[in-house]
Amino acid sequence: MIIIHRAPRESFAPWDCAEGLSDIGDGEPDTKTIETPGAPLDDSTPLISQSPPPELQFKVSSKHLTLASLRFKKMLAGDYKEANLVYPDSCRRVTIDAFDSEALKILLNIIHGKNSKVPGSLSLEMVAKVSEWVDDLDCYEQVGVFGDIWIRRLENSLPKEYNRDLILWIFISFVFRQSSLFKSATRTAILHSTGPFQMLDLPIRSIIAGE
Amino acid sequence: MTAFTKWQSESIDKQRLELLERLTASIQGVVDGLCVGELKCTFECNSMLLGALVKQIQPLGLWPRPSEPYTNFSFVGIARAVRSF
Repeated sequence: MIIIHRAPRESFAPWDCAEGLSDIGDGEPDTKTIETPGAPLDDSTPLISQSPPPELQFKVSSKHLTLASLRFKKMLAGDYKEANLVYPDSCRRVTIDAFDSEALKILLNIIHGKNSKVPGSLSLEMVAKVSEWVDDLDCYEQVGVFGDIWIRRLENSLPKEYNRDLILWIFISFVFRQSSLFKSATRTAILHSTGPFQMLDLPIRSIIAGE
Repeated sequence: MTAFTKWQSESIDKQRLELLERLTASIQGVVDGLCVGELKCTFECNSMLLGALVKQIQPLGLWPRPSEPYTNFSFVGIARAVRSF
């Protein structure tokens, strides 16, 4: 099967900077942690960092995907036309136009057991991008072990105030079922937030809206 | 599917609002106490304390007492400010 991925135009999890910082807010302005949306990330590969192609194609094993992801299992078992149309090259094609290409590549390597190609450490940003896929494709069981490794290497940088990184932490600790990190991050949000809790544009929001 | 639910997201907001509610209520309680003279001190003493307290909390936006959604207030921010009086 071939997965055709088109990267969305919107920037990932934009932080709404319009929120005012008053004297009685948190003391320290959190501008230092605001990343410019779309800025090249440390761990992005040349594959996508230079003027990304309109789409990427991944040749994948539908058997592996079906085993790893409940979402794919349903998609391929049901009568979702696109997924079951076999092309002359005897491959099926699925087009996805959401989330991050690099994160998808990491996830597909894990699902296909190509562990040596999986980075041992990722930036918080990239873990969050992988988390979007894990959440959407419902494949925690396959990826959880790697999530643990990435998160362990990052957990010293868990923010102590309310900022964009903290929301990413809440999201990844939820997706990767890290209950003590989740508690700690949500506690910081409750105590330090100076306004309504914002979920950036993480899938949480669409799940909230959709279900 | 393990989805971050609306309930969890709302719970974060709810707990923040409850904490701020309690915190501002206790500040209000001190002001009220000084106004009605419940605190055991002389009239002059209470008046001075009341004036000093209001003078300090007014510029911080804590007087008159703020209300939901407590925009620009955080629990930690208020607690720090009050401790520094």
